[in-house]
Amino acid sequence: MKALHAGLLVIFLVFLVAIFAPLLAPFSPESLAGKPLQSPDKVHWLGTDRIGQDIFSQLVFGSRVSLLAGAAAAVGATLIGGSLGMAAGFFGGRLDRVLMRGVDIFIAIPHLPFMLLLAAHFPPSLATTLTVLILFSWAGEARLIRSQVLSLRQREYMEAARMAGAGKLYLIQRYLLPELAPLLLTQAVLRCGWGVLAEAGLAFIGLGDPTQKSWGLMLHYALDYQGIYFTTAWQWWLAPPGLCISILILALTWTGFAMEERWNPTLKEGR
Amino acid sequence: MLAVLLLVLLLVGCGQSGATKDKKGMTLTLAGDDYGYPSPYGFYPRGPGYLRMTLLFDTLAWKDEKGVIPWLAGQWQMSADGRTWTFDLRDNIRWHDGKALTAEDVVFTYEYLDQHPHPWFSREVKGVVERVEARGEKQVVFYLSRAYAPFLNNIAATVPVLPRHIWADIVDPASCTDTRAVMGSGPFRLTGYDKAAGSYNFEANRDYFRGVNKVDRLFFVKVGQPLMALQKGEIDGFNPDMDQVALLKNNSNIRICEGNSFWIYRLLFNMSQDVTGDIRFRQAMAHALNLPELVERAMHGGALPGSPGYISPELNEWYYTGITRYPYDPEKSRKLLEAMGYDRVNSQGIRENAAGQRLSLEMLTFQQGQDAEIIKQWLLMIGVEVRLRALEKSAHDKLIDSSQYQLAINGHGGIGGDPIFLNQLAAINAIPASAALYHNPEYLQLAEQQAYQTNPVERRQSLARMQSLLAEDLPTLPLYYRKSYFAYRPGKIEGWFYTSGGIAMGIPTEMNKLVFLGDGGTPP
Amino acid sequence: MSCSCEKGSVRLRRQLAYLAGRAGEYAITLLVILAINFALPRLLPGDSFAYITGSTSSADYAGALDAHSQKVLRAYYGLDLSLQEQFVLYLSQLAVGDLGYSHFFKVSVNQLIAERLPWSMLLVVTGVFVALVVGVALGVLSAWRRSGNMDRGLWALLTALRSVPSFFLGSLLLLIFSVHWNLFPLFGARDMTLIYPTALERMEDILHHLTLPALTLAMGEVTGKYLLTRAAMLDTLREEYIMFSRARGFSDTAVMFRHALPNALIPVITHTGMRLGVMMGGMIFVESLFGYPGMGKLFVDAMSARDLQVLQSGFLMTSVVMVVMNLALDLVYVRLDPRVEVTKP
Repeated sequence: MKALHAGLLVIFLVFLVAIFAPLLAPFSPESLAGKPLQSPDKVHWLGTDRIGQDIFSQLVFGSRVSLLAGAAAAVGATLIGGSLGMAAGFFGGRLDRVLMRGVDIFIAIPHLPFMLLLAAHFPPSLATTLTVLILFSWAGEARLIRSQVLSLRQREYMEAARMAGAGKLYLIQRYLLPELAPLLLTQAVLRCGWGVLAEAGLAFIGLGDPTQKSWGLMLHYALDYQGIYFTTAWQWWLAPPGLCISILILALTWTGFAMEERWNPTLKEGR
Repeated sequence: MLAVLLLVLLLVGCGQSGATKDKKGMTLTLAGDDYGYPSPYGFYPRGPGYLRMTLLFDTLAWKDEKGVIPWLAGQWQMSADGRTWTFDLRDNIRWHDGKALTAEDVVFTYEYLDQHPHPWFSREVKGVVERVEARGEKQVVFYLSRAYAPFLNNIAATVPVLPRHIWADIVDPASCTDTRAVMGSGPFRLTGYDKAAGSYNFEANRDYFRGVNKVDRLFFVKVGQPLMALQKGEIDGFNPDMDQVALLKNNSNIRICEGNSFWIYRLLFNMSQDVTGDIRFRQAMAHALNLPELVERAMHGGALPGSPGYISPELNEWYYTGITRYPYDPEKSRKLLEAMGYDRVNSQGIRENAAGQRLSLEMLTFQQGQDAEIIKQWLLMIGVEVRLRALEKSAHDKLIDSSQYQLAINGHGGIGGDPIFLNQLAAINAIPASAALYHNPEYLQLAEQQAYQTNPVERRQSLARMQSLLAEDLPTLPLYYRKSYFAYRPGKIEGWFYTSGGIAMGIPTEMNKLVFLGDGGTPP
Repeated sequence: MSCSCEKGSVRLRRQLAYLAGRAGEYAITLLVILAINFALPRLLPGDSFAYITGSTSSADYAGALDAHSQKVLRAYYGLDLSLQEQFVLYLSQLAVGDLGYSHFFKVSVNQLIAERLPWSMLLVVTGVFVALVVGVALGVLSAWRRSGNMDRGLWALLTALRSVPSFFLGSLLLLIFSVHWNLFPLFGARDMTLIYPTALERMEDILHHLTLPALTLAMGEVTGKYLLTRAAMLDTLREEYIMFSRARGFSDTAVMFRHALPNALIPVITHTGMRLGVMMGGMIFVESLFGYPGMGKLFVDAMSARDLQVLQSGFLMTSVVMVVMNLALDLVYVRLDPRVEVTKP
């Protein structure tokens, strides 16, 4: 319970920061606000980077990219994975077999090497990153939703409704979706955390859009600076974006776990 | 699981070559990376790759702090028309296997280059060297198709001499990675190369013609944090960037050798397009960029601000001081843009002309480096919107080669050697024709002319005019010339220096093999 | 646990059928990967091979193609052939184990992978091993003291650990252990300046370099194993036959380790198999952060040079390794489950 509240609070705060970024950040993240490599002071709360951009402002604006990446993954998983899983589970038969074989194969492919291979064919941009995230978000979700649908189909009231001649679309709308909603929502939150992590990872190895300062890209540039380990610069340049990513993911994870616990009785003991 | 682990551990451990450590003598360890197998055809076409090769192979001439010096050839003469060069080889030069190095080997080298194109050397030799003849064991004569000013620098002091008795049997030189391909005449022999680890082990060649080598073993190793490795004494030297120099400056155990700045970073304008083809636009750009501040911001002082004449002021033999300059003056930039018709500013601060066209351009950049972000901010101040398109290097170069850009940022070396490099800025037959390049008939004519002006005074005049034209027309705007640094632990090798105009074709590093050679060598 | 011979042979047949089914799935997976590798550079918009046919004027940097590499690559891809012929050529090259030529590293990709793969195997196997041991141990501990403070603390700590990206975690470890305390090297898999007199010293050096990267990798993996062990232990502790064991007078400890743990291990093993793909990602981050000369570093290097051949073949090889490791885990899985019934995970 505590985990849920703490998680939701953090997510809400990050959300606020992302929305009000222009108001919160003292500078534009791109503007040459100060001298290069300044330590924190009253003007630059977290100092400046190699070319004199304000690190605190980058941190504030970076929340937008991270949330966007999380949202892309969550939406991709829910829409693509959810509908494919539902279709497979509900209609069964050949459709089910083909879809699930596809999911198995997709899960068996090493993801990051595949992402690298894909990204090598496209110029790095935020759109590329988001597309790749959506592309890789759905498979696990589809499998999970399918198995849930399979068990729901066996329920008596579903059978009864079917006997009564209810149409498939009606069944899905009236019974399946409401039953699945908690699971879909929980998974969306967890996938969101995955999306945040994946975006940061892609940016870290240099596949991010260099003109869109995300937390992962900040880490990339911070580690690129030769003095990062040997001066105190790591305290205000490396640690803040790293902690931001970690805390946001932790909040999403705890929220997801707490939701799982609340809505899924079989997992209650597992917290 | 544990068994698998041990097995793997043993497996990976076996990669080490079995050389045992000879405790005697001096070992010098420098930071490095993988630059390919150090054979004449195996090294990656980059400066450090070439230099590793030159530890194993020699050239007819070489360069020191002041300029070209005799090397394998003790002396040479150029004919009056500049088309015939006669080189006299020194006595007692031997290959690593003990066989004598003769004029036949030199002749063979150029035949071999003709049959097996080399990414660097063949480009220089082709169309210039007509034929090479041996006169006896010790004399070689080069017949050129016409006088060629960079001959000594770009050919005699660049192309390594290959041993005929070995290379006659090497059919596919690029993929030959056995010991034959590294059997040369140089001051070192190769005792180990690990591509994955990026390491090279060299051992002194005790029979070298220039006498005793001060270094008995020379190791190049890849270290992730060379700064710390140097402070700990794990390595003896590396090339720090400006930030690392700043971190090392207070350390009394470390010395820093500051070198030449023959690596240029420049802005390219596509000369065939409307906006970028307009001289007023290019001048506006030149006035809007504060180059001394760019050096401070992007390089933290580790560079020289660009000169619109392209040639670095440091190349003082050819640099021309009388060129047009563009001091930082955003107001002047705004006036120039207004004169072009971009006289209104929209709500976002971007200029528009009467037809409502925004002054918005795409600029190609590298994935690394934040210089472009600085430039973007400055141009925004004069109302020019720049959309950055960051590409990886080969994709970037491909677009530049095919003129598919408006603005582009490019960084490269090769501006320290013979000033023949100025010809690459113009569309000349030898270089891939490109619409975006500079098309000025006078410049083209001067470029042709300077190539065969073997008289330095005449050549200097041509080059002065070429620099003036570049500064007036601004087909490209040099932003800065990056400085080289070398940080080292004193005690083992002193006397690190930077070669005049860069080693060979103009490689701007301190890795000249002269440093390793004792002073008691055979006098030239 | 003891069963009659007849029962055993039925079980064996089932297990074989199960393994055959899995192998079939993996074969299809590999086929799909082959198709992706073939199709990606050929069918995507933009000329992915332009770098082969393009000019060599920019010979100033390592990614530039010299005439030799151009020739080799043209022949390898069969760029002058029809698409069908290219596919046949591609398959026949793979059939004889020819993975192509790297224009960046200027050697055959086979050689590159042979150099890099063992390092990655060492890293990943060590990482998985450490994560398994620690994760299962902590999971057991947590289930043992379920709902106590220790349980809560471990749960919070490990879920927090999972939220820290490995590249950030690794950089913190580097900062603390290598820079401040100078305990471990900053970079690489072994000290290139040393020539080891004995095999023991060589192994010591390799382990010394391995510690931080393997630890970072393991820390990313430990949470999943912990959570699964804990949940599975709690589940099996409730199951009937455990009740029986208790009724038969086994002590609590004996029940935990003799009965509950083996059952709990099954989902953990399955999970390890499913996580392998994710671990390949972790490997890339960790190797590039620590400069560890394995497949992950190779990927990143090839990426920055746009060496498609290396990326593709590396992708194929990691997939093959993954499939092989998955099959091995399937074998373990089949052996571990005392309840004979093999259902698809």
